[in-house]
Amino acid sequence: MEYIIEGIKQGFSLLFPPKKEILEIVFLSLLVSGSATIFAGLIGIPAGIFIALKEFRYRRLIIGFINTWMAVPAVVIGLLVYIFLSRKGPLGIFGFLFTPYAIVIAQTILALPIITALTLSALKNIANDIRDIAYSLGANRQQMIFTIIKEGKFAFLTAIITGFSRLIGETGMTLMVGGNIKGATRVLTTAISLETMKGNFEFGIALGVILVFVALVINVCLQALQGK
Amino acid sequence: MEIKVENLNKKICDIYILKNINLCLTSGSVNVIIGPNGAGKTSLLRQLVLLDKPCSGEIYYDGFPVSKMTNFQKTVLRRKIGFVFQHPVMLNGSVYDNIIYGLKIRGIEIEKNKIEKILIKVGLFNKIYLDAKKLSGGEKQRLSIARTLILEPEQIFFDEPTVNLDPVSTRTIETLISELSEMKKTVVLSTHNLRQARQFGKKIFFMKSGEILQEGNSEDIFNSPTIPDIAEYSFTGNIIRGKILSENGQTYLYTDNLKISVVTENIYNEVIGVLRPDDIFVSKLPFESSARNCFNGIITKIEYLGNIYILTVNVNGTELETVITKQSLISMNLNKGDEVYLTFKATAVHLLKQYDRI
Repeated sequence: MEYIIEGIKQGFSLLFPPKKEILEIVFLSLLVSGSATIFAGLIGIPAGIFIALKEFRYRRLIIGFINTWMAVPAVVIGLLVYIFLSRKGPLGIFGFLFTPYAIVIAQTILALPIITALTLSALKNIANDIRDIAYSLGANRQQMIFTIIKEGKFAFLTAIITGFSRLIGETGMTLMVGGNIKGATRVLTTAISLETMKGNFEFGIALGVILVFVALVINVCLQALQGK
Repeated sequence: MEIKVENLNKKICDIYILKNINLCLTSGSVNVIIGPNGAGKTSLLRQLVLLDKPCSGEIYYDGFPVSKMTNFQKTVLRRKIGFVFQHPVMLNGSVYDNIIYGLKIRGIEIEKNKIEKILIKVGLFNKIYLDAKKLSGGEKQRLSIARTLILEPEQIFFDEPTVNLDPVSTRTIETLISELSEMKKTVVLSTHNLRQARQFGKKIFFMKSGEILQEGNSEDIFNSPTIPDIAEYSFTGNIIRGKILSENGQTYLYTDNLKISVVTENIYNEVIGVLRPDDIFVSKLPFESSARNCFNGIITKIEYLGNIYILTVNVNGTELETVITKQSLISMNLNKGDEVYLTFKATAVHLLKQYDRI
């Protein structure tokens, strides 16, 4: 019991004032997961709007595909990205494997179906109504689309935040394609898992506290949005 | 602006929602579309205001076919049309934000006093800064009408605007419609409310199963419907099915158990007679009169309806409904199970040839 209390004490001493190594890890985590979320949002939100508004031939098939994709375990995505990016793989020439780029690619693929599906389900019931209202009040096509985006902004933010919270906590896949290289691809979750296995509880606890704090901020934001 | 529809069809999953619609709306007056649920009223309006595309056929605005319009021309046209939905949907924001949406989109300067005037008219002035999504159903519908009227459209389409509303909201909306009618705007109103149809309809279209079955003025539709569907839908009276037979120069409508004198020149094998409840005279004893029909029957039901009572009388197995005032009911001391005589003229029975639809 004592070593746990000791670990917590030392963990907090690493945070106040924060060590440079910890700051680097936090910064890299936010950068990698943040940019992956942005890329996934840039593709997923327009895709969600499009699928919600348009009646096209393979619509149901695509919705089914997105839902299946969402259920695929992260390690499988990690495996696929690893195969594609490894030296012998089709994208091997870029040399992305074990760099932050590889993590961004894998995390973008992981967050994309989540953000698309959340956008779609939020808009599914309202997109056609808003389209009708906007058109009947004289909007042209661009104004109609802009109105839908404006009406759905809280839903988009919810989708983005949910996607980000999924990514910041992702471990296995990030370890596979990033390699947990100190100062290069070591992020919060991979660092915690490594330090715990090494028996460095205080370091793990310090990082864990940060991760919990990030989760807390995300949830406060979500609550505030849903209260709107 | 003249609006004309030619041979319009709309199919969804191989089922006809609208079937061969041909109509010409009267400019500068109120056109009413009536018909049972699922008749295709909403679908027809949605095609007319360019929210949906028909599968075949054409809509002409001032002679110009809609299918040949560019997106820009469609936007220009839509800006001259107002459409009030059956279920009002509010945009995020306050009542004020919703009112100015159309003006903002058109780039029209927002005049505060004009907005105030229209909000006072629909009774929402004290709610101007409230969240529009938190309004009640009636308030939302009034707001959606205000949101449309502030744009001063040349023609306004209302899709069952007063369905599920309280009497106050209904009256406000009816007042607005009659004002538009006085301003000689083209109004298209779809409704279930037959009183509204009578009150506003300069021209009435009756729809059923995606088809327009009859059009005409309110006199044509309600007093001399040419098809039984309208008589059934609008319940203009008792519906008696039977056949016409001629005896000694007299024509009779035969049912299984009644023989009713009617006036007709045609001998139909299958016919429907419509008999308005207020054309039937109720008495406790038979009496001499020029009316050719007199039957006795038993009162099976007495329903109170405002100042009048509806009596259901079983005549030889056929139930006929008739209306009677409260005073008459009391002075004659009528009760359930009493025997009464029903008297009506041969001309009171309006005959409709059985309309066959395949």
